[in-house]
Amino acid sequence: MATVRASVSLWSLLTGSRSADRVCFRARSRPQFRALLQPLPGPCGAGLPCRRLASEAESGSSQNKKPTFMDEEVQNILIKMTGLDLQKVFKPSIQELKPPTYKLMTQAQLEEATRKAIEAAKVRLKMPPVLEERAPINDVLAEDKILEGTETAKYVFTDISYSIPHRERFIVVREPSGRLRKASWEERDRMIQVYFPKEGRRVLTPVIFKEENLKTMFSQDRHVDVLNLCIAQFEPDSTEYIKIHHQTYEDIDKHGKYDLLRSTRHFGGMAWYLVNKKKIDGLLIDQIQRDLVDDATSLIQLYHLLHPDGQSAQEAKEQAAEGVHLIKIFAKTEAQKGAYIELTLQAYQETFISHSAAS
Amino acid sequence: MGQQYRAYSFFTKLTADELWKGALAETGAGARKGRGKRTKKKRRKDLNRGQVIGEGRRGFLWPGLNAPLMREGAVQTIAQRSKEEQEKVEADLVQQREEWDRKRKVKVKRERGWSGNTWGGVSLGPPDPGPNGETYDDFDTRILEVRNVFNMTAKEGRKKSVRVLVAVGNGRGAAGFAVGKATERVDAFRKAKNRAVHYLHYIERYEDHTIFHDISLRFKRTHIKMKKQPRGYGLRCHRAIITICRLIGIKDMYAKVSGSVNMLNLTRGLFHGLSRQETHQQLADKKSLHVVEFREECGPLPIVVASPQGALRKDPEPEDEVPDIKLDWQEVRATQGMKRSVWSNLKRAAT
Repeated sequence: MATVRASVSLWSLLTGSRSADRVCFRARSRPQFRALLQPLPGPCGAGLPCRRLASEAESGSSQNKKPTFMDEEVQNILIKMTGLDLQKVFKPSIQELKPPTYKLMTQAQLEEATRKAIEAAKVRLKMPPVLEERAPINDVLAEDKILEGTETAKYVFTDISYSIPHRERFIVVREPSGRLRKASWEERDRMIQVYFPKEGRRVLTPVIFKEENLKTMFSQDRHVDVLNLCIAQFEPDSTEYIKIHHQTYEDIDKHGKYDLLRSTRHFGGMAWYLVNKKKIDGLLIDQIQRDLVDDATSLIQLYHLLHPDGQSAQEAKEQAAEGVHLIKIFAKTEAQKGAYIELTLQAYQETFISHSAAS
Repeated sequence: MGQQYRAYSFFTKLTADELWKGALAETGAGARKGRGKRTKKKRRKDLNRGQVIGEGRRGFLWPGLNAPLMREGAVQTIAQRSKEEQEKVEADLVQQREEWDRKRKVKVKRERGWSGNTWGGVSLGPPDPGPNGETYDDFDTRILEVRNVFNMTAKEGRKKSVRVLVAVGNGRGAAGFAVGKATERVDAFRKAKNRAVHYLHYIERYEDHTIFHDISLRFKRTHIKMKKQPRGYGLRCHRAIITICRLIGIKDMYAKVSGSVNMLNLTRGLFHGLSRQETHQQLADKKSLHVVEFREECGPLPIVVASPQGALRKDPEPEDEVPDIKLDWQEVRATQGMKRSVWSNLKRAAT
């Protein structure tokens, strides 16, 4: 915990020193981090506290620490659970229609085309990053009392040089009271959208992200559209992005509409959120009901990766459980709806036996 | 001065038919050879309508004629109405006759076809049922052309005849066309309608809304170029082609007619081209390869539309770098931006 708190203050210090770009941050700040970390008592001497930023290279050192979203094994599990339904991934999008083109293909050519489509689908299913909420910027650069009363409006100064990464841009605000401060994250995003407009992003937050409108969208089962709009509008570490994503995941969990996100790029994020909140019962039941028992077992493995000190993880390790047995252990120990899980599992096994007996 | 009343006059010596024949003057030198004016035509009116034997100006009630014969078993006697009653009865009769006249004068508005005065695009309803009881209720007929054609005869000289081209269709792929000729327009409509049902073509459609592939054909001197369009495009074609496509059931297509626009040749050419379409299944069987569709809105996903029923060929279709197809000069000009036309991309009503 101490390490986490320290890293929060370090994070704000480093943003203060204008080195907030993810790649540069990692490359430049690791020696600083390690240097500053040494005097603090950390639980382990090595590397960063995990679940910070995109740290693919940290998978080696994170075996003792909590696994992050971007770890290889976590990503593999999540990709496997997301599935790859080509018909759903390449659903006809709403655009101006053109007449279709036809080609005559042999079986080999058809398979080649399908393979290319699968690769394109994999690119489309690349998961958006799951980051911590960004700490607010409260940095005052100067207090010029002499300017108080001269102006009636705030002035925002943005550096619009083309080749600076957006995270490192200087955006400062001169208030009417004469105070020169750094722009807050929301102001920064707005200014950057004004000068360097990104497609699909509006300058002011669209009305659809208000509570009532979100509720309407959820009642119409349009969670995927909500999440896509959210990714287009907000930065991955902004408050609204995280809040909307969590709201969407909660709504899906409440109504059991997990299948809406299957074969989309949001499934991984949802599974990660549910595992961290320890609410995987609904998802497990849904998977068993759709005969996706492998996905159910991989979900429980992910759960054990993230909560290795839990009861089910310990018991599973003792009994070296596999497959259906693993689910049973989980249902017995840490699940809230353990009875439901066992019932569904029983029903699945009966249908499985009857199917195998019939065929 | 009172109205003149003669019990026996010229008008009572002749029958109603003879009198009307004289008054209307339907036969005569003026009526022949199309010289009759439309406004000078008089309509025959039955003057005895509403007349009851027994009703007279004095208002006598004759049992058996204008009064009931028996009343409670007893035969009634001859009676007379009072003055007021008689006036009322006469006023009623006059009012009734006026109402009949008004109803006769009402002009029924004819359904508008392609434009105000043409018969093109006007619907004639379903064809008449056949001799063996078959009904064609789901078929709709539309007139495509009405033309007055003349024939020189020995006796009268120019003899007018009406020639009508009509198309029928049920909106589900079955459609046909026929020509009917008669002296009267109504008879020509009937003849054409009933003949068209005997000459039906079944036209294959792709997903029930468009053709399978682009067709460009030349029939006599009429060039038609039809293009396949996606859903929601509508029928952007010649008005006759729109009518025919609606009868067939095609909802989205682009067609361009160049050269001669003779209606008969246009319809014949259209049906000729549409019946000779090659469905995806036929194409697959012919080439023994999969027919795969790629849609823009679905990305790189291949959709197999038809597979050959027989064996599948292993060697692929040879593809040149520059495809060996005949280009249409007008289309090339349009894509290159050399064509200056006010009619391209004109905003029209839907379908």
